[in-house]
This record gives sequence, C-alpha cells and structure tokens, in this order.
Amino acid sequence: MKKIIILLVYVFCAFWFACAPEPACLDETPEIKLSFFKEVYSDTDSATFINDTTIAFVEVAALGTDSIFVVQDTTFSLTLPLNAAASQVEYLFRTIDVFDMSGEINHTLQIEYLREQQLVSEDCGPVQLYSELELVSGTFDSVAIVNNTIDPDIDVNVEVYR
Amino acid sequence: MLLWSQTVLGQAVDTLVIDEPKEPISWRPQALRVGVDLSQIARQIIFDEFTSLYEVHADLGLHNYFLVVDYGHAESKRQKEDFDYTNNGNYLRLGLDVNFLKKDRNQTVVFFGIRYATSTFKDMLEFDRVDAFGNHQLLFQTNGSKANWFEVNMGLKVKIWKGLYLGYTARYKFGLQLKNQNGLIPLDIPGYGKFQIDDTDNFGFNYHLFWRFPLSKSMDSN
Repeated sequence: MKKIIILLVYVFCAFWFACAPEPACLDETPEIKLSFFKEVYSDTDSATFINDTTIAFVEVAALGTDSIFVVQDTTFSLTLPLNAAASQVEYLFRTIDVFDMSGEINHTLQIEYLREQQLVSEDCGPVQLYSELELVSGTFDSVAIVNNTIDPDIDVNVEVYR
Repeated sequence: MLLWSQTVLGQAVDTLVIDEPKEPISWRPQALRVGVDLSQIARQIIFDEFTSLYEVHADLGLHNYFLVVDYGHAESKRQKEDFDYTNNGNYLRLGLDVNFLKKDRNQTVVFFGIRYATSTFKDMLEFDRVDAFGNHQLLFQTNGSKANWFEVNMGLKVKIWKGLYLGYTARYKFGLQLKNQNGLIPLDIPGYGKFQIDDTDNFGFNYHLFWRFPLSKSMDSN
C-alpha cells in the first residue's frame, strides 16, 4: 500500500510540474523616442523651452547604412529604430528651420545601448531586450537621456534642445 | 521500570519511576546511500529537447541527519526554422537533511532539508531578425555562465528490498544569482530548470533509486 501511494504521488507531481504554464511572450520594441525643444525668451528675458515646431526633417538616416527612417516630416517628436545587430547607432538628421529657409542644417546623434537576448520559449521565439541607453556624441546644442530603458510605455527617451 | 514498595507499617504504596537510560548519541556514519535520478532519465525519453540528462545522489547518515550531495549534467537543444538554442552544463548541490521518522526498522526516511546549489553551463542562441536596418543572422554564445541558488526540500525514502530504496524529493528553489555572459539570458539552467526574468523562484521534483551501504551495526534509523 505504501508503495502504491509513493507511485501515485510521483505520477501526480510529474504531471504537475510537466504542465507548468509557459511564460508570456515579451514585447520587443527596439525603438527610441525623441522629443525636440526650442529655447524661447519670454517678456522677462528668462529662457524657457517649448516643443520645437520650427524644425523640419528633410531626412533622418543611420550613418554607415542605407537605412532611412524619416523623410520630409515636420514634427517635434520622432520614433527611431535601434539596430538589432549592433550595440550602437549613429543617426544623421538633415533639418531645415521653417523660419529660416537658408539651407539644411545637419546634426548627428550617436547612441549606444545594451542588448540582451533570450529564447523566452519555443512558441514565443527569441526576443531582444534593450536597456542602458547612453549618449556617445551629438552635435545638437544639448541632448539629455531622460529614460534609458526601451519600453513601449515610456513617452520619451531622449530630449534634444536647440 | 516501576518499583513497588510497601512500607513496614502497611500504609500507602509508594511508586518509584526510573527513567530508562538514554542511549548515547553516536555521530559515527551509519550508512552511505547512493542513487540515480529516475525522473531525469524519464524526462530525457519523454521530452525531445533534452539530449542528455542524468543526476547522481549520495547521502551519509549521521544520527538523524544526512549530509547530501547531488551531481548532475544536462544538455538541451531547441530548434525551429528561425532559431537554434543549445545549452550544456553541470550542477552540484550540497546540503543537510533531517530525518523525522526515527528508529524505523526498515530505515524509511521522511526528511526536510536545505541545499546550496551551483551550476556552470554554456549556451548558444542563433536566430534571424529583420528590422529597419536589414536582415540579420545573429549569434550569441557563452562559455562559462554560472548560477547559484538555495533550496528547501522535503521527501521520502522507502525500502523496497534489502538495500534497495525508492524515494522522491520535492524542491523549492529560490535566491537565484545568475552571471550570464555576452548579453545572452539562458532559457535552461542545469539543475535549476527554466529561467524566467520576472519569476526567479522555481519548483522541482526528483524520483530516485538508491542502494544503502551500512557502515555501522547500530540500530539507528539511518
């Protein structure tokens, strides 16, 4: 009788652990969100920053590749992809100031990040998790990393000031 | 043993209780039990992804305690059209069990124990990825990732015939410390099981076949 009980407990536990639920698939959104701000002066001559609606993007591309992400857009926020095959990317922004159409102004922004990859499950497949966003170099007046984690719930990763 | 005595005057009977002398506790090793994990063998047969799985167990009985060591090896391979994942490693558990079933003439053991476990493994993930930068074939591999964790265990070992025992161990694994390399987060950790980023506690179950080698002629339960 004791041996039967042992066998039954074993069979129960074997099925219990074999039927453990599979983990939920993770979202993979390798994109960074940028917001552009322009410095303005109020009547009291104190500087404030507002969404930059005076910048027009002729093109935004990744240096060293043929990839172009934005063409002919006037916006103060951009979402740009990260490179799954590299740990850093350098973007080229070809811009025009809408109030000063004298010519293009080119800026570069180089960002590095940590990629971690995992096979979550056979059904979900591999995912890449991006984090630890860091600024390497940039030619804008000022750039700040405000959120260094790549997450679809985050509104902005990088704030650019000019 | 009770001693009854009657006073000379024939009055009330006195009762004297003498405690049985306690046997001195012997810390000499009573028995060595060695075994293999049958559940690992079954998993290798049932689940295609495991190409090699085995675990050996040894415990040394000291009074009502056991010094325990487990050693195991695990290899797995998971493959689909767009990815290939392999994992290969070894693990070791050291611990102490307490036997709650004393002086069973068949040396049946009901135990509760703790373990410290360590695992060393290498893994490789190769997969395709298409993004705004183009089509990529990506390869990430490690050669010496390490994991450590603690366990609380409970189980049973029952005599089947002469020195042959069957038993099971239920495990709760916690406190995982993982040192992975090259940005590759493992799916499998040998000895621990599947790894999930957001839930690092794990359960396990093993079913063992043992042989017990007596080292002492004492009647202790181990």
